[in-house]
Amino acid sequence: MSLDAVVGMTLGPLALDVTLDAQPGETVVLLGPNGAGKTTMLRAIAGLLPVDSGHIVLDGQVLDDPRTATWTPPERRSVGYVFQDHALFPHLSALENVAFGLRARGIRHRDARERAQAWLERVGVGTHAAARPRGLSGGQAQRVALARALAPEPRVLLLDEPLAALDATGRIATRRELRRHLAAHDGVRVVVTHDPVDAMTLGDRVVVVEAGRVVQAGPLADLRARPRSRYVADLVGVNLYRGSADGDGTVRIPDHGELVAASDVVGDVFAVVPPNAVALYRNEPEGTPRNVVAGTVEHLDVEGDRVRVIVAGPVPVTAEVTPAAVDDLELTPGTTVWASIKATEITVYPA
Amino acid sequence: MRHRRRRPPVAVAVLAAVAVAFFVVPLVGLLQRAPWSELAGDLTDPVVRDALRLSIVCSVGATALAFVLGLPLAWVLARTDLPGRRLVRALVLLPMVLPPVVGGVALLLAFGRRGLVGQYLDDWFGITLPFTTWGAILAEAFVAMPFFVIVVEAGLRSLDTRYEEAAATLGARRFTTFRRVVLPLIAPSVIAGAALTWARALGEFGATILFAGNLQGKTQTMPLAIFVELQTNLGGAIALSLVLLAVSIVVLVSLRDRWFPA
Repeated sequence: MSLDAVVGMTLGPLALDVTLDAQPGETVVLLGPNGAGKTTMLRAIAGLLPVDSGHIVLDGQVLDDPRTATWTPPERRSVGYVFQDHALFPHLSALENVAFGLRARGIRHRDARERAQAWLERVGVGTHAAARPRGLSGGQAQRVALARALAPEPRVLLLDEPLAALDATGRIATRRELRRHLAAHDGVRVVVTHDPVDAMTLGDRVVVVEAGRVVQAGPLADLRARPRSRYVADLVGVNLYRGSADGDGTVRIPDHGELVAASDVVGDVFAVVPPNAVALYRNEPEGTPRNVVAGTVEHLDVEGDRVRVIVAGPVPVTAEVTPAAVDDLELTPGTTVWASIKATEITVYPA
Repeated sequence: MRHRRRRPPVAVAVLAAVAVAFFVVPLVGLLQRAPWSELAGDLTDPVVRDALRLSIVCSVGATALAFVLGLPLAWVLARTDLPGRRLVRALVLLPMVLPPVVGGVALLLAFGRRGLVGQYLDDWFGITLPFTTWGAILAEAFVAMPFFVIVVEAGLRSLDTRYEEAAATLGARRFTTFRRVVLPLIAPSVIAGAALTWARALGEFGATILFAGNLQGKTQTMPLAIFVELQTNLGGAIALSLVLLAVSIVVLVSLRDRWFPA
């Protein structure tokens, strides 16, 4: 049981060309900015949009292939779809919403209702069976939508921004639960999100889509260690530089100077610096660090108990420091600082 | 603090008042001549009773026809991108602006005994439409169905297609989706469309009298009976007019939320 989707489509300004493979029991996250084509990808897999080129194959069965004029309508694909704002049927109760898919597949009224009730209980909204969608909170509606998609036991489960409609408090609890429910589904799971935290919590593997193309794919740890685009670097919050290395550890960054790393990679390379490996000084430091760059503080972002300091200069760099350090160094926008990076903290890999 | 509305200029106010009077005076004229004490007697007159019965049969029949044919048509217009949709919509709306008498002539030339289609209906199936109750139903449907189609099409257009998509991903075939999701959600539009269609059919005169004639107990609906009774039995004509006025008011009041949102 596996999903093999190669989707080529043109929708207005968006030219989508994305390949996605997923194995059963695996959650693949499609991560990317709004308008990247992630939802279009899900719609193509579900059969709500036909592909212009490529194919959609599930367990060896071709669902969509324009070359052979093969197309299976959505109602005959074994796909569960959780829509972004749930799309629960407003005229049906939570129970009837969940029973809908079972009834449509020919299960008798009473059995369908019993199974729907069991699903509602499983996702923790068993007491809201009689409520209409309008009477449910965002988190409850999300659970009902998940139960509705899971009840017919689809081979593929598609979730479009499952947590986007929730407020901050509901989000954390729902995210954790969602992970548990996804793990319990033994088919293929594909989740679309623009939030790296969702991607990290829910996904086994991440496919980063930007402007209709895959820019990077792999386990999230790989993305974090070796981002291959500015977008991915920003998502995982690291400094990314592209330049050329000559083998002795020097990475020349065009227009921006150079960094010295403990690396013998040669040629066109990426260099990654984690922001917590950047130290800031008010005066030019002396001693071991090989890389010291001067710059001015452009911006300070408080993130929990950390402050991200964005330093503009010949080599732009983001440092992560404690609020206490910000006070000690009296950092404000416009302050002149020196940033130092140990050569051993810089990861260099071929571009 | 409330903003005080500016008063309209005097000339505008006078003309607006004349317009209101123009609508109200005929109603007052009708009501002040109403033979309230003899109303019960007038309504049990055989001509009046036949007209009442026929009007109900024909207007309900026309509304049912509009539902059966108009619902699929509204769906095609709202949910498909068939070529020529704009032309089809224009043709469907034509009877709303076409003088009903012209509609009656056209129906006669199409479904009359010698008509384009009517001759085959007569020869092959022995079906005769003109000057029958079926003919009256057909004439009313021809004139009234556009109301149903436009109101239901608008309802379908304003319905989020994601409900249909959700139903499809849950394994529902298109007819199941329509019956269990779309129809309940557009029910207010269907009811409003049916009410307007029914009210229009109830008042139909021109197309009916041309295509179905004016046969008491067979095709003589209320408006036709009013026309005839006016010359011989004014009381009956007024009684029937009051019935139609009352029906119009009921339809207007029941659709007020739709047409006159507060």
